[in-house]
Amino acid sequence: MDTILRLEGVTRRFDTFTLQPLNRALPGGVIMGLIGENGAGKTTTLRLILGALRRDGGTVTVFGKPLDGNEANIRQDVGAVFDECCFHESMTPKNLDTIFRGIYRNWNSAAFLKYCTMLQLPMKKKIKEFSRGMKMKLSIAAAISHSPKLLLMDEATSGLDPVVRDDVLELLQEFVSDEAHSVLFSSHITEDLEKIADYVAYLHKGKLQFVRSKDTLLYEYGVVKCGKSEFTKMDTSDFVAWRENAFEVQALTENREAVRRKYPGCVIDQAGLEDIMLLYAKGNVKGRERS
Amino acid sequence: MIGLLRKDLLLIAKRYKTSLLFLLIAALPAIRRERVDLIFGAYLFASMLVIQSDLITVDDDAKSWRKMEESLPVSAYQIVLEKYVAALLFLLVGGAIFLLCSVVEKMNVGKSWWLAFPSVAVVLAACCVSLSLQIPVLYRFGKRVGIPVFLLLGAAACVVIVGIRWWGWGDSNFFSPIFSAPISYLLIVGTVGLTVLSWLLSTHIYRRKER
Repeated sequence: MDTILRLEGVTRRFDTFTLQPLNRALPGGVIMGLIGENGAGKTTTLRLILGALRRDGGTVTVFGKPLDGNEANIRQDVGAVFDECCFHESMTPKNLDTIFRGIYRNWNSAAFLKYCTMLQLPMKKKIKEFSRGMKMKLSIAAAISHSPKLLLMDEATSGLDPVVRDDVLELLQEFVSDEAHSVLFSSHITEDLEKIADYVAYLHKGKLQFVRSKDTLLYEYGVVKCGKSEFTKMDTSDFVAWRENAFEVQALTENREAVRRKYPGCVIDQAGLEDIMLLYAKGNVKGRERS
Repeated sequence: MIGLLRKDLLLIAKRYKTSLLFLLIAALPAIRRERVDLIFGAYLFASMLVIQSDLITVDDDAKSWRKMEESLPVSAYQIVLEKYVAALLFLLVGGAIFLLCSVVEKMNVGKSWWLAFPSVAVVLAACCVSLSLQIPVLYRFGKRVGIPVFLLLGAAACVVIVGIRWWGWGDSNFFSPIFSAPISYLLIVGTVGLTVLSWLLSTHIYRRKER
């Protein structure tokens, strides 16, 4: 698989927040989920990839070309969906077709019409009359109708009901069924990523904590739940993060089976992305001082 | 860039369809009363002020269109240039109707139709100057500052037009040379240069904003 996107030492400083040097490659044909709490740097990362924000350091290479100086050209093959519908409310989907036909070289009106029909979006109705779910579906239909090689989605499913989210996820799955397409999808809704992501990257306070395949996270990671006294008898080097509350300790391991064998009496569950995110964000993390 | 132009033309047409229709209707009594340069010129100038400011602020109204713009395959130069092109297109259409009405008016009273050109050139130049000032100001300071400033400018321009027409300013030493043919044409050329400079300045402001 060719590398679609490569970030090398990408960093950006703001007054109250710094995105630590980010190194990552995104291969073709995959969906990578970007998780992290509010203000972790997910939107900043996506805007840096688009060239919408100035970088303080590092390089961004998209489709093998450096971003600097090639932004407009590269964006011909990039689609973006944001957390809100960005179109003018007095427009209709038919107007959007006319507009985007004059912007993207590869704009495919037939594909746009197909997606709108599939998502039950009326072509001649004004966007202001659309529900939030319809607006987001329209944003996605518009973002993929020029067949971009890379689709960036920033919290695109937040605030949508489960039925609409499912429609959106189905559309994304159809989109990446072509191996030339990749998606970088930032979301708070870890359930969505569990359904469709191939890889998951976790950002915490501007620092990339890990990038793992979703299968590794779901099938190898585990959460041990035990009392404080039991936990003190365990070797903390078996865990990547742990968190105490009034009643129990939850500890995250990267190797569920090994821990199960080592501590046969303890309860160990499969770790969901939400558990992993919470333990990394709020717990003690091995090799990191408690924040 | 063509797509962005389509977007702005569509938005302005949707927003001002009644007003643009009124612009055409206003032409008829203006011709009959030999007041084309006053009535139609003032109306055209006022419309251009409003449309130009709307071309910039219409995207602020959509709040998140800027985000979308950042993801489109167009450069900052093209994004800003499109605003100027859209404004100039409206101006050219308005200017053509103005010229046509002026020519009809002059011919009705037995004057040479050639005399219609200087006053049209002056109004078009005034619109271009306002465009060159208005767009950078709106990009830099937003509509809260930009619109009041240009309403004042528009009011001042209306006073000048009334002064020229009714208070004899047109025959004064200061204003009369402007309406002589060669100077009015030079005025047009000068405003083209000013518009290009304004475009470069606006692009600079746009690129620095929120990055």
